[in-house]
Amino acid sequence: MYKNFEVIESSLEKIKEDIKNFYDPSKYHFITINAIDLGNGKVNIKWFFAKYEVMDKPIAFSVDATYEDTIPSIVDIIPSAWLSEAELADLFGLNIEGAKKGLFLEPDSPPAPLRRS
Amino acid sequence: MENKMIVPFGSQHITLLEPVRFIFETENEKIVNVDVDVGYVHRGIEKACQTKLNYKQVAYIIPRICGLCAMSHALAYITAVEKILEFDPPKKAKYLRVLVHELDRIHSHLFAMAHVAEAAGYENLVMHLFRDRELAMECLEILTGNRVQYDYGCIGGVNRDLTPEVEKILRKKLKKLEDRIHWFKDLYMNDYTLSLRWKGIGVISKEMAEKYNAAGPVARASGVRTDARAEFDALPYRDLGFEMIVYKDGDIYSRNLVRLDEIFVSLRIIWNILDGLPEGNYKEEVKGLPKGESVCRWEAPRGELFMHVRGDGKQILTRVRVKTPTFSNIPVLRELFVGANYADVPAIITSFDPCMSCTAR
Amino acid sequence: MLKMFIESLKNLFSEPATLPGIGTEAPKGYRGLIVFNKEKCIFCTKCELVCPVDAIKFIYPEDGSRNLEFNYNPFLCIYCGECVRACPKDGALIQTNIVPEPGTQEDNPNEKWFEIERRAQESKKKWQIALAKKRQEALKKAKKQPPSDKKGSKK
Ligand code: SF4
Ligand code: SF4
Repeated sequence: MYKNFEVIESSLEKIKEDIKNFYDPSKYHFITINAIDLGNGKVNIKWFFAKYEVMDKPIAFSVDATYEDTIPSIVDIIPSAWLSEAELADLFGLNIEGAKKGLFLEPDSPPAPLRRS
Repeated sequence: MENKMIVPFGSQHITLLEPVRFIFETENEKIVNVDVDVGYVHRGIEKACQTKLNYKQVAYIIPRICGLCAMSHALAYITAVEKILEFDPPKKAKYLRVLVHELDRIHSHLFAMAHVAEAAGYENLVMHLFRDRELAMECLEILTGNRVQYDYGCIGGVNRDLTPEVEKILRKKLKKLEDRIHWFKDLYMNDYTLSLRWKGIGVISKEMAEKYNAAGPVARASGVRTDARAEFDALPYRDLGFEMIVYKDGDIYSRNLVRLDEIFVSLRIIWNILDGLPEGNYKEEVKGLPKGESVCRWEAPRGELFMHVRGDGKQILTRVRVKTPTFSNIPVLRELFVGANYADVPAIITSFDPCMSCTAR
Repeated sequence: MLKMFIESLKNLFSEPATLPGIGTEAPKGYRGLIVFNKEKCIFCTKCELVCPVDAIKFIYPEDGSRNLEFNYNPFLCIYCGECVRACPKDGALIQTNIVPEPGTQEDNPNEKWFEIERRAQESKKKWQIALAKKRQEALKKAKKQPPSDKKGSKK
């Protein structure tokens, strides 16, 4: 299933702690957060990291959630994550703590365009 | 509170190439707070790739995200799909991909340098840079058939072979280009105007670049050793004499020098390819439907491009996510503005070489 | 700075880098307009299928035959060349190095193309029905004949 990256399964409650224990700014490069709509109101979210300067597989933390769940924000651990979180909040309509909406979409565009209904 | 001023910058501004909006809160000349809006050009390309187009067609739509790094987008996507299909492209195709990708980097870097020079008011240099960029564009045109949208890679290899005639023209033009780049290097090192305008302005420290996860030339100018060409095993960069360019100062000047030196590295890689192109097929048939998930990290001219593709064994993919270089650089850009002089804003923005049509997609 | 000054002075007396503007020709191998050759085409509609932007549309004939009408929209085409590569018949589709002209109001490219898209869709449906009918008739004929054969064989 996962062809060229490593996946660490986590859960909504634990994810923040996991990333906190894992992330070292001088060793890892935070890439982005991505969501995949799995259908039936379920969504899979992945946080991607890669090592600096070493040829190694990227690492992803994976969490399964639903659209109703509140997803914890990691901005206090990785300050640059706010943009990725804002994008997910806009394009998927996810409830991410403290994420600003309306950054990627205009007020008159359809809400959560990447959601599959 | 009285001497605070709100100054909007963008979405249309004389120094901005693409629509992005900053709202600066300034105190005299100093910026104390910034707000940013990036989504003016959201076109829903990801949505189209997941609903309308089959996975082979996506390879021709994805490069339309951006004109300057079209090749990076296309090749990153193709690599990601090939990883899902567990297909290894022929060696010759890999070399030809590197060739086009590095030519693309050269013209993009010259373009970026020209715009920084323009923001500094150095019109003469702009004209020189743009003229010599034309050489790289012409090389790409005869090799791929178009100046901007190359459509050169395809799932399974590349679409065209490098014929001896084309190779001859490439060699001639690249020789000329190389001479010109040496001249530019000399100019950049010695010209008084450039150092006056750019040295010590918009400094990003190494800690800051790491904290905000800057990417590409911006990070490397600050001393962060990161380059997806050395961190992801998609193309044979190791055999081709790739070298990571890192500067320490982190100001506008070193960002320019990183770009300039990377052009030398690219040229060296291109010479190596032209001298030692392997024999064999340049394209192979790929069978099967993508089932699984893969990622691709790719060093686009502006920084790290990231693709995340998931297919569920259908013609149409479940998810195509493009994380573009400028997307990574917006957070550090915002942080950098706090405490900067308002007059330096245009120079700082252009030195990041932002690409908004990539960021918003 | 002196260097730049000298270079600029040199440029004053050298050939201009820009082209004269008229008569510029696209190089050999430029990906330009797609040209269709009806004589060679076998109407497999592969080109229509692979085109990422639907710039090729076939209008189907009413009678269910395979005599389709090729329509191509140069203003929609992105010149990727995918149709040419997909075409099984050499020479039916060729990518020339003719640089496409921009569309103007007189060409009325949008309305014309929308009309073609609509007709293509409708004609395909009709054609499928006609084809199904044709097949049924052929099947009936085929069914009618075998019994007579059988009778013959019984005798
Ligand atoms: S060149 Fe590409 S866009 Fe144009 S008609 Fe052929 S497949 Fe379609
Ligand atoms: S792919 Fe070639 S042969 Fe088939 S319909 Fe198109 S032009 Fe005709």
